[in-house]
Amino acid sequence: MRSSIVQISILLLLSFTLGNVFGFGYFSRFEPPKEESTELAAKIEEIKALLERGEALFIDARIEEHFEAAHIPTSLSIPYPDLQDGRPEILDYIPEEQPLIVYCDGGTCHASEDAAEILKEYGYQNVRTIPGGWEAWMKFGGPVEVSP
Amino acid sequence: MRVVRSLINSPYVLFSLRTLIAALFLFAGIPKLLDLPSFALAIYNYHLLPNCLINFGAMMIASIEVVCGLFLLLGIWTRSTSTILTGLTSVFAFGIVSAWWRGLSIDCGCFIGFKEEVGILTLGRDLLLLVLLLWLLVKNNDKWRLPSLLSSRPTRSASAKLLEETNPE
Repeated sequence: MRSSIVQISILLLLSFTLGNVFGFGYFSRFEPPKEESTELAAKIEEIKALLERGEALFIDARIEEHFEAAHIPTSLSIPYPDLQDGRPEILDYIPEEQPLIVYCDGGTCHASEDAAEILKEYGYQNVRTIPGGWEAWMKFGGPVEVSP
Repeated sequence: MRVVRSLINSPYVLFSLRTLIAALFLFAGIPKLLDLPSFALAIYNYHLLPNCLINFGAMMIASIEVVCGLFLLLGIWTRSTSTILTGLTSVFAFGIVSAWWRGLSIDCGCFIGFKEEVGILTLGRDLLLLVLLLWLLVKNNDKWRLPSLLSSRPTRSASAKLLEETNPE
């Protein structure tokens, strides 16, 4: 038991040393990546205008539970895993020229970018994503439809 | 039942298991260590640690994977390395369950360079690894570990006897 504790301590000490060799300066505080707020706000405003003019169809790539709780008005729920599983039938009713805007949970999720890539493979050339996703949309006061 | 028991205790199976797990941790740990900023970002995405601990956590997790992977591969201090890796894998499982529970669709950060969203598959793989590590923790005595191989060299008297047999004069 005692030898195990000594061995574990040595292993952790070795790991700490190795980590320092590769990660010099890694005791500093992590700075989360953030897009310039003003730039992000401008992009969200641009997308809001598209929504108001009805010039794009919004695709919600989040899980269904999140969509049911609240979503961008007029948006269509196509969870990212469903898109991965194959072409959803609902796409048969959406012409390929239709501009699409895909969004997922937030700045840290990549599902919207991946979903946009899949939609492009299905022939939709005008596909965009909402930078910062649902989180940014809420932050900058985008209209929201809450399920009753 | 006897077949299962003999498989569980088989030194060949234990050796393969140890090598496989060690290779897996080295395969996961080395790219993380070489690209700590990406791994730190993957940890940040879980929103579980305060920002002041993320860089330190990334550094420690990546280096523990490499050091323990290497020790496990050589069969040195197998029980201790298995204990640390079991703890680490439990932390990963907790992180995945927590992210999944909160509905986060984030990259699991398990292997840098391979995008994998947290979900049932990543959790299942993690739990399987946990079971294999526990197995290794209990049955950690295959004979191809470096310390066993070094200590099983012919003794002085055995070498002398062998020499005498080959060179009678």
